[in-house]
This record gives sequence, structure tokens and C-alpha cells, in this order.
Amino acid sequence: MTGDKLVVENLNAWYGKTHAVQDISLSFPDKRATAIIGPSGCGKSTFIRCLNRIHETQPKARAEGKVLLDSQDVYADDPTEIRGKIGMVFQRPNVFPTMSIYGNVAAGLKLHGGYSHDEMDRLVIESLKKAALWEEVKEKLDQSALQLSGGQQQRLCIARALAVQPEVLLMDEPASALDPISTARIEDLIFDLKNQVPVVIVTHNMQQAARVADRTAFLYLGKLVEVAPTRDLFERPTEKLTESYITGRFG
Amino acid sequence: MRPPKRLRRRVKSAALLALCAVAVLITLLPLASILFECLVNGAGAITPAFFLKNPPAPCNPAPGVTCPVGGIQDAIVGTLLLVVVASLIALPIGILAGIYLSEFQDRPLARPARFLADVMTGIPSIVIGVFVFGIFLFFAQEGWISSFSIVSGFTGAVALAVIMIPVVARTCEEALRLVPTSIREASLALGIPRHRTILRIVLSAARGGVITGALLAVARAGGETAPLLLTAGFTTGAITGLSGWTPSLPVLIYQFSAGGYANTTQLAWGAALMLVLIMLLISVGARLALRNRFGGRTA
Amino acid sequence: MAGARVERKALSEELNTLRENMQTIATLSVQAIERAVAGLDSPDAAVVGDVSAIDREVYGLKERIVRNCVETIALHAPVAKDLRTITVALEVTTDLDRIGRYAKDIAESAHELHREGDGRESLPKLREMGSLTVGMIRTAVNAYLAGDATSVSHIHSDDDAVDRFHDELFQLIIDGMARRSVTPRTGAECILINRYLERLSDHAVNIGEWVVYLVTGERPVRLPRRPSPPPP
Repeated sequence: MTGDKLVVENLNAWYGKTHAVQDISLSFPDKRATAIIGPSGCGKSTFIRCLNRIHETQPKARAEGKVLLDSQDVYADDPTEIRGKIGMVFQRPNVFPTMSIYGNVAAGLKLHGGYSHDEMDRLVIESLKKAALWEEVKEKLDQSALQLSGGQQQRLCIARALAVQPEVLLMDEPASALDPISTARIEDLIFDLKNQVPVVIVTHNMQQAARVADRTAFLYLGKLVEVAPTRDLFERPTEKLTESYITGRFG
Repeated sequence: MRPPKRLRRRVKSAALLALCAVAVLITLLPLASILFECLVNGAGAITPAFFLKNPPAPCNPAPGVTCPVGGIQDAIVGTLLLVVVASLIALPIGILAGIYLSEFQDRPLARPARFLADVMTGIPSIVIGVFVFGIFLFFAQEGWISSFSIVSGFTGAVALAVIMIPVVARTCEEALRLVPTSIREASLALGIPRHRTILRIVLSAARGGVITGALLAVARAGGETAPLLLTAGFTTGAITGLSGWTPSLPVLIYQFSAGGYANTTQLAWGAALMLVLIMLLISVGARLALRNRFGGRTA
Repeated sequence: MAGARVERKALSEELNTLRENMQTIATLSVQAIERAVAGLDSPDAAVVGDVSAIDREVYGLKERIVRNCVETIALHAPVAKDLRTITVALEVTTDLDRIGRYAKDIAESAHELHREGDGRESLPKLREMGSLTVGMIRTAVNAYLAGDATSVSHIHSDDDAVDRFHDELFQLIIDGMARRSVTPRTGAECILINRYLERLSDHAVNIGEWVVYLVTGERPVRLPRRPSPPPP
């Protein structure tokens, strides 16, 4: 039986005057992948960015509510610490342009401090293996990260996020900028990863949610409409709104 | 209808192209002529002595009188000294200001600061010279420094620094702004604290632009004449550290070109050529700095 | 763009075609069994031919429907009600095909029975059972075509009634054969028709249950069945 690793209680978030996330309560079980789906502008990206407090780095952005990681409120202390525990992969690969492949993966470790060279090497290799990128880059670790293809760069970002050994991995539409094969690779990755770290994935591609997630939550206009095991949600959703959205008949 | 329309379009395109080409040539003409004049007139002055000796007494060639040639050694050293000290003051302050303007945009100080920096880049350098002179005069009146130090190498360096700071700050800010927000977010999301994100990740990503900005500010400072007239003075003798009157290339050119004496005029041309070459070198250096260290691409 | 309803036209068209085909195959299957059961009364030689023709048509249509359903799944990855519509269509079309086949078998057995000429004892009972079964099939098919789960709420009890009928009739026929009041041939054909009708009512129940799943997403709870006598 897996308990809940991350619990969200009554989360509200604003961009200036826009109430982007409205009173959402949701929990994320350990060792499972949870998908968040919904039409554009439904607040799913904003929601996930509140979980590791990246949302508040934007000007005029505000969030209220409780986000509990293992019963500890994420909003209680300095955000830096919690961001080391909750990793994030973004929509477009954002490798550090002036660093090598090794440098990118080790960035979180180096700038956190306290790791020996050997430990860093070990973590870098391990992360690259977990991200299914090791074989492709093991001969060129000191080359620029920019020479990798889009799909490879995104896997590099995943490796980079994994290197700091987060307790939860957040993914904001990680494959939306990628071709189908790269997308499939990343989905396979998530399939393996979720046994080690709970994964929360925001996606606008419902089929992706169906393929990858154990549980799926449907958001609409900032509110949580329905959350259920993916199998149930896609076979017999309870809410009419959910049914309209997932059958693609939206109006 | 078709052939005339096509022909008309072609003629118009060609005419526009020709017009643009002529405009470009006209634009390049002054630059080309400067280079040409400097080369023609100044090349003759470039000898080993040019770099090793100091300026001679002014004299004109006359029957029976051989004018000493001399050189501009201390003027070169003076310029280097002034620019280095000015940079040591201006670069850290300017870069930190640029970081503030870029990374802390939402703070209330940022907008007025940016506006002031823009204004300052437009203030005539003579005014800045007067301002700095006035400050050091005030210091001397208060007894904090000796009145001999009012006009000195240090004062000149401060004047140059005041000119450089807004330039460095704004170019640094622009370079940092070009770094996409996603890079910052990626760094923060790893649990890297903000100050390290700015200093180690963002600044590094923008380093091409920052270096270019710094070099351009240095080039500008190296060529300023008016403020140095008031603040650094001029001497044909040896430099006595930063506390005395410090010669510099631009001021030397000013002093010697109006004199009407053949040997010093020749030195002035030589100095002008040197100054132009140094500017060219710095511009080329700035362009090279824009290349990513992994080759080829601009940062 | 705002306010325009997304229709998923390609999928909608496929689902429409599916609905039309299901309408056709359902109508044909019901026709087949009605004709066959009516044929229990009259020794009309044309019945066998007619019912066989309908059965062939049903079979061909079933093949087409199955192929279309698989293609729709491959192309459109349907979910929720769309998915249930397609999977239920796959199941129901099989049941309807079986109904058509059993109709043909009943017509053939009835023909033999009329040739033998001594089915007077069993025929009325068989007719009664036949009309019950046809009623169940009609109810289930109509419920399916209308997407109405409420009208099949008593289908399990109807099926129990048919089962009881079947058991009684079976005993009756066995007794008749033992008393030699009917020929072995007649007895055998009657047992077969009895069995076909009982199986047909099972298929009607299947269809009913799939209708419930289609509408609610839940499979209905099946009541435990009474043990049936061994098959012939």
C-alpha cells in the first residue's frame, strides 16, 4: 500500500488579479504517476508550479494554501530547500548553454556544495542512466550540451533534475516540444521512474496521460473537476464535463 | 500588362539597392578617411624611440637646427594606467548595477535607476570632468586630500569610471535580459539559491554580452579627452604614480596638434594612429568575445 | 473560435455508420427469429429458405461491423462512452449473429418436425416458449437501439421463467419418448428446439447486460443461476 507523498489542501493561486487555481485539493501517492489534464488555460501549469514554489518567482504571482511533502508544509520555510526535494522538468528543454553535458547534470550538485568528485561522478552517471541517455553521451561528457538533439536535451534536463535525488518529480508537458519517438522514450522513462519517485505530469495530450499515469486529475477553469484511477476515468468518467473533454467533444 | 510590371518592379529594386549602397559608402567614407589620414601621417612616427622616449621640447626645423624626435612613452603608460584603474572601479560597480537592473526589475529602485543610467550615458564628458573636479576640489577644501592631488591620475581614473559605469550597467543589463527566464527557472528548480543562480548560471550564460559591454566601455574611456583635461592634467615628464599629473594619449594629441611645431605635431599623428589601432583591436576583441567558448555560435 | 463546439467529425461519422449497421443487423436478427418461431405453427417450406437467407446476411454484416470497430479503435483511440459504444457493439453483434444462427437451426428442426407429423404434444408448449423468447429478444434489442437500460431491468426474471419452461418441457419430451407417444426423431428435434430457445434467451440476457454497461459503465450483477440439466 503506498501512502500519499504529496498532499495539496485548498490551494489557490493568482497572477495579478487572475485567479488561476481555485481551491484545489489533491493528493499524490508515492511510487505512482499522476497526470493532470485539461484544456489550455485551465490552470494546470500554474498548479504544478505552486508545488515547488516556482510560481512565486514570477512578478505579481501569489499562492495560498497548503502543500505537504511528507506532512511538512512546503510553504513554511525558505523555498530553496524544498526545490531541492521537488524536482521539475519544463516544457522546453532548458539546458545551461555554457556548460558541458557533465556540467549540466552536475549543476545542482556543484552549486549545492558538499559532494566529493567521486560522488558527483557516480550521481551523474546514475542519473544519465536513469534518463536513458548514458549510452548516447558517455563518450562526450565534456562537450557542449547544445549539440544534442531536442529529445536528448530534454532527457538531459531529466537527468539533471534526478541528480539531486528529489523526492517528487514534476513534469510540465515534458514531451510537447518533441517528436513521437522522443516522446515515446520519455514515456518509457516515466514508466520506470515512477517506481522510484512519484511523478506528477501535466499534459495536454490525453492519450499520453492514459499511457503513462496511474491516476488522472481533470482540471477546468482553475477547478478540479474529477480525479480517478486512469483506467476508470477513461472508461467511465463520472462528470459530464470530463466526458466531454476526454471524448474530444468540447463546446 | 505583365512585362512592364515586372520590369518596373525590377528597376525599383535595383534603384533601392543602388541608393542603399551609396548611403553605406558615404557612411564609411569618414571612417576610411580617418584611417587613411592617420596611417599616412602617423606611420612615419612609429619607431622604437616612439615607445621608449618621452616628448621633446617643441621646435620647428630650421637651417642649422635639428629637432629632437622623442616619443610618447609615458602617454601610453598613462592611458593604460588611467584605463586600468577606471576599469577596476567601474566594472564591478557597473556589473552589479546591471545585475540589479535585470534581476530585480520589480524593486522600486530599478526604474528610476535605469532612467538615470540612460541619462548619464548622454551627459557630455566635459560636464562629468567638471563634476569630478569639483568633488575633489571639495575634498581638498575640507582638508581630506592635499590640494596637489586635485588634478591627478586618480581623479582622471574616477572621471573615466563615472563615464563607464552607466554604459557597463546598461549593456550588462541587456545581456542578462537576453538570457531566457527558463534558464533561471531551471536553476531555481534544482534548489540552487537565487544569488548563485544569478552569479554562476545567468551571468555565465550572458558572459559574451557582458564582456562586450565591458570592452566597449573601456574603449570609450580610453578615447575620452575632455574630462582628462580637467582631472588628469598633462605632462611631458615621467609619471609619478597616480597622485601626480598623468599624461594620456588623447590629451597628448590635443596638446601637440594645436602647437604648430613640426616634431610634436608628428608625435600627435603617431599617437592618433595608435589610438585608432587600439580602438580597432578592442572592437575585434569584443566580437570574438561574443563567440561561445564551444565555438561558432553567439552566446 | 470561442464557443464553437468540437465535434470530432471523423469519429462521429464512424459511430453513425456503426449505429446504422447495428440497427440493420438487429432488425434482421429479430426478423429471423420471429419468422422461425412463427414457422413452428405452419409447415411452410419457404421458412427454412427465408431464415437461412437472413442468417447469411446477418453473418456478412457482423463481419463488416467487427472490421469497422477494430479500425475505429486503431484510428481514433476512443474513450469513455465512445469506447463502450464500440466494445458493446462488438459483443452484441456476436449475440445477434448467434440469434440468426439459432433461428436457422430452429427453422430446420421445425421443418423436420412437421415432416414427422407427430409433434402435437410438444408444439403448443414450444410455441409458448418461443413467443416468450422472442419477447425477450425484442425487449433487449429495442433497449440496445434506444440506449435505455431501464427496460431490461426484469430480463433476468424473464430468463428464469424461460429456464423453468425449458426444464418442464424437457421432462415432458423425455416422458413422451419413454411412453412411445412420439417418435425418437420428433423427440430429438423437440429437445433441440427447446435447447435453442433456452440459449436464445441467454443471448437476450447478454444483450440486456451489455446495454446496462453501455449506459452506466458498470457490469450488472448476475444472479446465481439454477443448475441446468446436461446438454444433449
